[in-house]
Amino acid sequence: MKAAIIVFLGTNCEVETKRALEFCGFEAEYVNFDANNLDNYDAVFLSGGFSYGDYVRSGRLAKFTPVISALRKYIDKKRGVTVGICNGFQILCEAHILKGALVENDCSRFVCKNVPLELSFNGEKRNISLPVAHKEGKYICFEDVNDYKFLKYIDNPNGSMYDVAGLYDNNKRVMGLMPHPERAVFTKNFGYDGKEIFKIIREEVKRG
Amino acid sequence: MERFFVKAIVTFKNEVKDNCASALNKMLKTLEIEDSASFSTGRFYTFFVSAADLSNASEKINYICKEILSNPVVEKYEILSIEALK
Amino acid sequence: MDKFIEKEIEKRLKRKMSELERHIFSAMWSEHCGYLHSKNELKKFNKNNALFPYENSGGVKIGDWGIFFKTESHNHPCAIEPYQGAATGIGGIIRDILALNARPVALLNSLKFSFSQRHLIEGVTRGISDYGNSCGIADVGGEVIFDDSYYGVPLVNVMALGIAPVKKVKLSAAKENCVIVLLGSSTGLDGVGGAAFASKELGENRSEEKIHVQIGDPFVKKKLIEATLEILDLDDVVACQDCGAAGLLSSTSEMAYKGKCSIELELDKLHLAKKNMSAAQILLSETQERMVFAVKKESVKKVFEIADKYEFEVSQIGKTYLGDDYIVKKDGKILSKTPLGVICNPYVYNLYPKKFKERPKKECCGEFDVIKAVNKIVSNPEFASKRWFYEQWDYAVGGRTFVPPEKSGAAALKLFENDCFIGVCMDSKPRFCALNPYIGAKSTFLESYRNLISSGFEPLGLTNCLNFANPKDEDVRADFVQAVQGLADVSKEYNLPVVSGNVSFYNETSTTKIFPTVTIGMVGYCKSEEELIQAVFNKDEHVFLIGEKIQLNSNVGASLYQKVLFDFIGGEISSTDYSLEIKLKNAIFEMRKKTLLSGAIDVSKGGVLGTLLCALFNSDIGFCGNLLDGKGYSNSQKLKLLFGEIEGRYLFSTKCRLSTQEYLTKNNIPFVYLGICVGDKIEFDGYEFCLKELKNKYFNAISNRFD
Repeated sequence: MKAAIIVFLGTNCEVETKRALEFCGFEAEYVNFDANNLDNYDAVFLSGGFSYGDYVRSGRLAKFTPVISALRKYIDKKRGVTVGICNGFQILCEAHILKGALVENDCSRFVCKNVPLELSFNGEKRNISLPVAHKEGKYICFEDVNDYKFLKYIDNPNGSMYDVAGLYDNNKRVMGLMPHPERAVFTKNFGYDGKEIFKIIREEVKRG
Repeated sequence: MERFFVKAIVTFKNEVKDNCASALNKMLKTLEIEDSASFSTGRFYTFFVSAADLSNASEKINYICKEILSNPVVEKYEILSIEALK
Repeated sequence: MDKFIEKEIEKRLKRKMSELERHIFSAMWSEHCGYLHSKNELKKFNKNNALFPYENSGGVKIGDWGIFFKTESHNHPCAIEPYQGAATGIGGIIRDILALNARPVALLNSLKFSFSQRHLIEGVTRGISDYGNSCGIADVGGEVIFDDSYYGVPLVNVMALGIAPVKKVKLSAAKENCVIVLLGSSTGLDGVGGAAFASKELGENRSEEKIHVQIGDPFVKKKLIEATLEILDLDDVVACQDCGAAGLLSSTSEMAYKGKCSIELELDKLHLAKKNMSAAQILLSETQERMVFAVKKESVKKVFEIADKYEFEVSQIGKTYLGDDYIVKKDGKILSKTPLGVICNPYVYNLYPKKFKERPKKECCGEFDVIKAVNKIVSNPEFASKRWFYEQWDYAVGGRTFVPPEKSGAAALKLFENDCFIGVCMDSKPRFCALNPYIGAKSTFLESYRNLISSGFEPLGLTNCLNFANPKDEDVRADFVQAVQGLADVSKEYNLPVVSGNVSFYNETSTTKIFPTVTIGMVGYCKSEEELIQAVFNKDEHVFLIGEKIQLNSNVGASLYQKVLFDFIGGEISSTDYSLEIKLKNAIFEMRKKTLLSGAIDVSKGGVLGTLLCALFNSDIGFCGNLLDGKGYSNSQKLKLLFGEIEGRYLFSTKCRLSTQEYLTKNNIPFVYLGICVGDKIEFDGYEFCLKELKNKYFNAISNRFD
């Protein structure tokens, strides 16, 4: 299973995302923001960081890069699964690939800690814990997105509407999440639940 | 081609809670300066565009405001002034 | 400029200074760049086994990898503009590491404030958060201390740690016949004269000082890191320097001085942010996010290509050749030609302090109810959890952090490249240094040492940041000399190299003066994840105290409880026993190997009880046992035995009480059995506390004030 990790100027979680993906059985490589074809990949990851300094708004400026145009085609032809983590989720929302928008946390501060979450997949629900690390992670949407939610905060750290921590698009081929699964793979202090997320992504890819 | 000088602001839509504004409202009240300040905050931009005439310029400016400077899901923008330069 | 210094310069030049040279010398011969008052003292430090101790940053070796680390102070800028001050402090220290071709992977902060100065605390915290998080370097640990002696000048000491294969390291000495290339932000007026600014006391009218504070851009920094590492991987790049204090001037002059060659700069070739800057302004600008390279002619094009890839401006600004001069040209005209041996070799003072300050030896002897004392200490901001701070800093970015802040004495970072762990911590004990700078400095060293040991790391080396008031003051000089001597002696005794360091003087205003503050950053090594130790005790585990036994006549001066309960800072502090420390270290490592030891924590702030409480709060478990060896103590004696701070002690937990007791007895390790971790109450010597209640106070003491 081949995964692309897109690197924008200012992306900073690409290394651990690659490490975690490889650990979870993906073949992963970096793809620069100027790439214009993603068809080689079964999955495309937009990893965390501060793309283009998060100037104007978090994730705002990345949407004008060639790779995002390529990503739109990739999604349109249902080639594979797209996953946006943290800044990647912000980028997907700013590009209107996912519904809603992410704004500053209610506490107005950066929040870095492990949070309890409810993961729903194939009609099953279970509780997991993943690290979050963001300042603009409050999800806002003025339409009902409950059906698209796969990850929900149990103890909402940022004021997100519907407790949204992770969200699908209409076709379940695009996923965006604020928590960092790639940080919860290697050690008990951050937990191992990141593996659960990558397992789901694998299954989504397989489902085609 | 003409040059135009633009001033625009981007603010949250009314439905979106403006954290900074709430904090300021509370502070002014605590300091007994103003009981109902009803702040709103936003980002202020100035920039120049080149266009054939005012109507072309305003089309371009609206595009910039909508697509680059704001996110219509949570924000609204207002063009405060467009000044034609000689 | 000081008349004496001026004379000294002109004596060495054998002529008068030009106007431009006056600017050059006022920066290069400032305390900040030239270490005039400290250089002689710093020679005392042990450098054995240090990797490149005379470079931008020194380091230690793990396998084929160099671990480079250094501290920097940004006290003065933070007093004026806390947000930008803290941000650019991080920016500066990152570049020091980067210049060696080492990738920065961790940051630590040692912060000192007066608790009343909320705007400074919030500003600095936010500055670190916005800048550090954004450039993608994990902020893994550090400390925050509150004391009113920092009312005038807060201390913001930042430490950065980077890694590089030893053979890929680039040094700062240029060679002849190189091209000088400047990469990064356009040079502007920000921070002009910053080095001179940091070398004087702060005045009353602070808004006028703002021009001296630079503005950082973390997005540009992140790009600068990637671009610099790519450029330094080119074989033809001979040397690299970052533009920090005294900007281009200090980086280019030191590069040439170390490389024993002349350097010629053409100031009209620079990319500038502002037209019509004077030569002095260009040379002294402290615009952030700039790096200087000495490159062989053939490879300049490659450097430009890399710059282009990262959307950076870059200029070819000069060259090196045979000689020993610093030559500044503009529009083809030579503006100055000055011997590098004079610029880079400033006058150094001998401190010879005439007398050491006698300090009052009075003991603290107040009465305070133990239950009230526990509640008061637990919710004291200096003792309480620093969660409010570290949750605003991304401590996990990069994926190397294996132990989050406060879970153990030192942060644990995985060195995937060598399949092992780096431990790192940052500590200071200002109250101890205030009472006795010599013992205080030693004690600070050992605090870091024990933090590493209790986390499972073998210490390898240290860096330091020495923060003092005005060195023209005889008492300050005496404190400084003593502190350096203490640190030098203890680092020799333990055979750990001081790989890098920083000195910050003039931390005072007309009305306030900081405590002499020695900040230590120490780095250690651990083989595997199994051998890491955390300050976490589990249910049904037994708690032991090993090491020095506290007595009614022990010296417990500077202990936190005295300050919190009686607002008292005084008394005497005691030195430590080398052979006991080593014995304890060996015992901890051996018990860990035998899996006797489960969690461990060194006894520091708050004495035995304070330390035990921290561990229990972290572990979310109650306790039942005895901390006093009998009854009949008065309240003030109890406080001393429970909260008194002496050296050489650890607490640890074990599943097997009997075999542990056997091991300790057999190996002659002084120990006391304290009790067992159970339930949701903390019970000792007839006292009883609700775990949840105390824990809430401990974790929320700071957020309750700030949220």
